[in-house]
Order: sequence, then structure tokens, then C-alpha cells
Amino acid sequence: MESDRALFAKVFLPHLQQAYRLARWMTGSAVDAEDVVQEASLRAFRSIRDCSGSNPRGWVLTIVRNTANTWLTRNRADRMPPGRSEADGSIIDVNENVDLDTPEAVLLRKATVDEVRRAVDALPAPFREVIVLREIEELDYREIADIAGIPLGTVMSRLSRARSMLFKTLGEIR
Amino acid sequence: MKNPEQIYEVDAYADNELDPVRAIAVEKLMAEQPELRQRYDSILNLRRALREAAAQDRPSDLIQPRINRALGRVAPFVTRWAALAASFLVGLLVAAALTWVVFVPRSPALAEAIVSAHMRSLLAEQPIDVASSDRHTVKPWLARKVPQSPDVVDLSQSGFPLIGGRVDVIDGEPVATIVYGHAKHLVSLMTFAKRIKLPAVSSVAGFHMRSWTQGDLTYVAVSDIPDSELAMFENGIRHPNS
Repeated sequence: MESDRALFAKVFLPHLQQAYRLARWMTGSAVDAEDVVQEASLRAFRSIRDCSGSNPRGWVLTIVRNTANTWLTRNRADRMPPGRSEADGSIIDVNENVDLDTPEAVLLRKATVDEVRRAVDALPAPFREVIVLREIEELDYREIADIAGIPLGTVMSRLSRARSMLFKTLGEIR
Repeated sequence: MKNPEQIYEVDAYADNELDPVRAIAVEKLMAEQPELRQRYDSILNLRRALREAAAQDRPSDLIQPRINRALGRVAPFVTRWAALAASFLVGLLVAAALTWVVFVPRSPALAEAIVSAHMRSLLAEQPIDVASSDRHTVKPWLARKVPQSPDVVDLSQSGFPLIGGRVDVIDGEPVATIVYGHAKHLVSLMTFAKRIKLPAVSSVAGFHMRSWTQGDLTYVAVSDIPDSELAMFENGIRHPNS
């Protein structure tokens, strides 16, 4: 019989780096990310017995994602889109349709790290989280759908839209 | 380029989410349409830029002590007594679970057989014996292999394109299975000529199953897509014309 602490160490700590990175990109700040990770670790600890063990990484990232969204609503309402009902609810008011007026494909010029961060920061939260889960955490659509609590089709449309928006900010045709 | 479906396909291709059949179709599409090809290249460039930017992200060394302190405040220590009591409780639970496993009827074994047939097909080079998106090809092929084969419903409009068919052997009986795609995932629709007992909704090892009876056949849909999407699938199969 493992203590909760031991279980926590086994389930949560191996994903600390990924948890931090998700929080880092969702909040846009290194300092805030550590606050979010700390809070998420408490939430995880309290419900550590609920982790079925089949997908600990998904479980951890779901908690971090929900904690980050709660944190954003509380501290940075400007980063949350209007009409967002609850921190970890996924009901949003943002137009889901791919905006066909944005250039679909422009080659990216070499962007600096700062430019990349600013561009991701400028995305509305629901789009930011899918692109971060996909490209930075390297999860597949199924895992993203589970973590963000949205249908697969929405994952696809938000991802496409997020990309189009990033191409617009970062891209200059070369 | 005004077709969002094609854009999604290119994105899904870049994300490695397409089955081989559709991946080839997208490659062809990109060869014909330079804008699509360009989007694909841009996605890869963006991916590289994002990963480079994230490569240096690391929590400070202080994060772990911080977490430990925070946990220390909510759970100072676990006494030996508490641990002992907990392990006794787990012993009880394990015994209860074992009893349950021994006494439940055979439907879990059947459910597992169904899921392993589906899993085996995912591991195989080809998840299907006959590859066709044409139901008029799949239906006669299945009819030649099993005594009672189901109608093959076209669900491509609902996002479940037909991929093909195969014959599984479950519980010693050949079973006609129709395979549909859904994003990168596959849905196996098995049809049993005899009555079988399965819950309407269940899941085994992360795979969801839905079972229903229509006419003389019992249908079981199994996939790793979420149950809500499998419910849409079931609805589409049961009410093909609505």
C-alpha cells in the first residue's frame, strides 16, 4: 500500500516538465506558470486516488490545463475570450469557422523566440491551448480532445484556425 | 483555396492523423494544388519554430521544494496506523473484486474478445480484408464469407467514411465486420447472427463499445473514439435515412 505521497511522486512528478511547459505557454509567463503548477500539484494530490493509472500523463495535463484556465479567468480576464462560461468549461463564443480570408499558407520567415511567444500569446485562449497541446506537448487529436474536453472535430477546426492566425502574425512570404 | 475540408485534411496529414488510404489521397491533392502544399510546408516550419522556442522552457529548481512544502501543509504525514488500516482495506477490496470477476457471467469475456479483435486489426498491416469505400463492393464480399451479412450503410456524410470489411472469429463463429474511419481512428462494426448479451454501452481497456439489436442481427460498434462520437455513429447506422 503506497502512501498518497508516494503515489503522487510516481504519477505527477515524472510529468513535471511537461506540466510546466503547458502552464508556461497557456499563461504566457514563467512566473505564473510555476504558480499554476504548484496549484495543479495540490489539486492532483487531493484526487490522486482518482488517477486510474492508465494514462497518468493525460490525467496530469488535464489538471494543469484546468488549473491554468481557472487561473487565467481569475487573474487575467483579458486573456480569456468573452462568453467563456467557466474556467474549465469549453463553451466559448468564438467563431469556430475557419476564417478563409486569412492567408492559408505563407512560409514562415525565421522568427525569433520572442516573436513566437508573442504570437502564441496573442491567440484567443481556446486556440492557444490546442496549438500548445499539439505542437509543444506533441499530443495527438484524441488526447487533446480528452484534455480540453472538446470533440475531435473542434480540435481540428481550432488547430487549423490557430495555425492560420499564427501564419498571419509570423509569416511573410519569402 | 476556399475549401476548409481540404485544409483540415492537410493539417491532419501534417499531424499524422490520417489512415494510409486518406494520407495518399492528401498527397495527391497537395501535388495538384500548390497552396495546399505550401500550407503543409508552413505547418512544418511553424512546428519547428514552436519547438525551438519551447526547448529552453524548464521550471526553476525551486519548483519541487515549493510543491513539497505545499503538500506538506495539506498532508503532514501518514501514520503507520493509517497505512496499516488502508492496506487492510485494499486487501478487502481486492478480495471483493476477485469474487466479482469469478461470478459475473460470460459477457465480459465476449467484450474482451470483441475488443481484442478490433485491437488485432489495428496492429495488422491492413485493418481490413477487403479495402473499399464502395458499399456495393463490401456487402457482396461479406455475403460470400459469412452466412448472414448486414447491410452496409454509407456514413461518409457524417464523418465516418467506409474503409472496408473483414471477417473476425469471435467465440468460434465467423463475424462480419465493417470498418469505418473517423479522423485517424477506426470503428469496427461487428454483426452477430445470434443473440449475444452485451451492455448497450460499455468499455474495455480504453475502447468504447455500443451494442444494439436490429432485426435478426446484433450489432457491436467498437472504437477508441469517445463514446459521444460512437453514439453518433450508432445513430447513423440505425437510422441511415434520417
